[in-house]
Amino acid sequence: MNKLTFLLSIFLVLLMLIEKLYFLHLEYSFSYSLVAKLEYVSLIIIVLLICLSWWKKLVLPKDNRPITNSLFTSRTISLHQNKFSAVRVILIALITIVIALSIFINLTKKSLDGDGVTMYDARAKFLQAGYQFSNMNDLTYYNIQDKNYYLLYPPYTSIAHYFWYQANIPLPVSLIYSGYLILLAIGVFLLTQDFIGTDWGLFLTFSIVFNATVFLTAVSEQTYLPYSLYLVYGILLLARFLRDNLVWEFFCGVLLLALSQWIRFEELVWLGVTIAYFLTIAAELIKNLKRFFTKPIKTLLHYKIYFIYGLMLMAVSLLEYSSWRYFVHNIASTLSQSSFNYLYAPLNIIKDNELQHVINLIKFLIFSWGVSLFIFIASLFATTNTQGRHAVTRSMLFIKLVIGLSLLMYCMGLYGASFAGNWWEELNVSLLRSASYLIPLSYFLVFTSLKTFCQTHHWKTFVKTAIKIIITI
Amino acid sequence: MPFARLYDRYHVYYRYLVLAAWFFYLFSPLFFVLRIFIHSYPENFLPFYKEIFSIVTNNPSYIALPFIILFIGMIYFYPKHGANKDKIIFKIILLSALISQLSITYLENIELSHYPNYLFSTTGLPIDILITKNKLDVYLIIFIFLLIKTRQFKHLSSRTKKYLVQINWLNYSQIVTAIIIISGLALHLITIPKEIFYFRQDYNYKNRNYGSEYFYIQALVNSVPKYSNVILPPKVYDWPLLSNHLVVRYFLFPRTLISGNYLKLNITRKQFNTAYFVESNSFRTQQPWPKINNQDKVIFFDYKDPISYQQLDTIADLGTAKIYKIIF
Repeated sequence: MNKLTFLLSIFLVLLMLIEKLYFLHLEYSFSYSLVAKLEYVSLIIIVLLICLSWWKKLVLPKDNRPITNSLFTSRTISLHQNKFSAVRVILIALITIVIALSIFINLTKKSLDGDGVTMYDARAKFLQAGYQFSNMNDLTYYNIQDKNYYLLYPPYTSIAHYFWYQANIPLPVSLIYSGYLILLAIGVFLLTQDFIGTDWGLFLTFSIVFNATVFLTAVSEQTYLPYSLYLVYGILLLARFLRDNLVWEFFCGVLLLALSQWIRFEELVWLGVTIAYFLTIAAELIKNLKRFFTKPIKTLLHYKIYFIYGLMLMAVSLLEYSSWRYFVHNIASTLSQSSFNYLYAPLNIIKDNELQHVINLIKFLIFSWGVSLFIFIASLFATTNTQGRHAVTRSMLFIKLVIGLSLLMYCMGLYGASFAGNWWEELNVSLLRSASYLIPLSYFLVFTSLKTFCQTHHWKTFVKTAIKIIITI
Repeated sequence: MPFARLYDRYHVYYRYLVLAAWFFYLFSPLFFVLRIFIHSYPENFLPFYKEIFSIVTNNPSYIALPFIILFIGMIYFYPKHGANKDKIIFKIILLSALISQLSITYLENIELSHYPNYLFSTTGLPIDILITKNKLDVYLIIFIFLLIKTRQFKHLSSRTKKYLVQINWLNYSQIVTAIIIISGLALHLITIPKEIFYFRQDYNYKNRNYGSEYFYIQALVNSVPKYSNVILPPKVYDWPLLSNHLVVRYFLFPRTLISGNYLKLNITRKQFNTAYFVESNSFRTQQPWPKINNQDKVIFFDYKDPISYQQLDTIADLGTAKIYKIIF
């Protein structure tokens, strides 16, 4: 199982690297820049490091592991331990039916999705005609309104389409997105199986694939699904690293997280994840506060490796961020807004006393996200104790922080995006789709909670008493 | 005495009351029909059976939903150790729920196939209320299942109160969150089959051949040579697709696209000699674009500013659309 997880995640990394190398080959003026050299050298070093650490099964030294070690021992459950039960067969069949449905829709539909036509597939066409990304702004010379349109998004999906066309595959290009759905299903199952067990893992996979938002992203040629695929792999691998202390999981997670910026650039999810990582380590310190006050330096040194790793996470993500930004600004000479802008939004709330605006925003979020927002928030309060009642594992805390910070980011992004409330309604659909990486994460927390809930055996009596209370009221 | 066995002492004294309440709820829409009967005789009770087959093709999700309820009910909520009368009531409620779900789907289909508000005007059935009722049924049925299974019709006894005190608060909060999560998940899962099955219809409908203006784009692709200039309408409400350069470029790619707005700003003759455009009426306003004045040899690409030309030839005439070659 571990082997398969490694192979899948390294496959995603290599896919991205091949595309990035093609991009470098295409944009030779970019390849001479210092940012590009730094980026590519560091990427290749990290890939080699991942392979080496996986081969040698590198684990953090014992001195650097968390003090409350017994909570974070990993236990791997393989499929061979239990035979295939009827429930498993039914769940696997349902998952394959949903995936087959997406393949069927992708094979038979008559047209590509709106953004697929105007942006992603169009750029693949231009690449076939010999255009470079830095030259694509010349196409919109006689149309003032759409200046800079072709460089609004990074080129990942366009190059994927281009490769598909170059390979002369006689099937529609939309099938790539069904492939991403398959990768998401397998990845979610493999990465969460040893947390919640095979049956629950299969049920989790089914409910994610069956989720309407995720399914819609698998049949539209947009960046949403690959983006959430890379992010889910990255965040879950980092969460596993916090539990298992395996080195390859950390570096693979960092690469997947940082490289996701090459799919969608505007959302600063990597920043949220980095903050969540540091907060998790800080929470660990607070847990051992007594020890921290008595032996401060020793305790800090105890966690130094986690801080160093956190800095690495930040450095790689920043390098990726600056690389695309440098390309757009300096090589393609296009002006674009900094995506850091909306981080100043809370300052405006205090400064301008815009509380009514904030209330409107929250109302909008509730009505547009509906049940999904409900589940996101419920997952924040989900009790996820795997051993004992009071312990909350680090990895769960990490995922919770990621979800919380992402929600905050979307609120701030919406607030900073526009002060015209009417404009938000256009964002309605795309907002939930671009936040679709939260769905697997929140479902994972919810299912962990449900599993622990079912294991306590009190639930039957509780349901009964709850009903009694309702009736008496 | 074990806690679970404590509940077996209570019996469903009011099981027939539950059944009566359920049927009252189920047939409540008939009151709407009665109301219209009192006021006027219905004259338009058409033979509805023709449309019964089209339900299966149009909205399969509504068919699937009652069956899912049936299966879940039979597997998880069936009172295995209950009294025989309970079992019979359980089966009656399940079957009647199934029938009501199917019949409302059927009615909804009739409404869709005719004009809006058709059912209300002929039979007095408000379809919006029925559809919401259909969704509400699911929760109500699950609630009744639980009622029958747990058989709690008496208010809390002192023993249960004691039991509540015995439970520590951490566990309690855990269970409250779990209840919230389960209900949230149930809400989410119920809406999904509809989304998936409806999606295909909506998708094909919306993107059928990229809309009606796609005809002009195809005409341009077929008749205008590659590596030439094509003038498009200015970006206005009248031409949602044809004025969208980003979409049109996807199909006309090697050709250079020029906006009608751009021509008023710049001197065209210096930049390009010849160009092509399609003349047609807008589907929305029936206004022709561009305005051509053959006598003065003047053309209006943005409805306002005149641009003079030397020569104007018709390349292709497709009835509703003409493709011209213009030499400035």
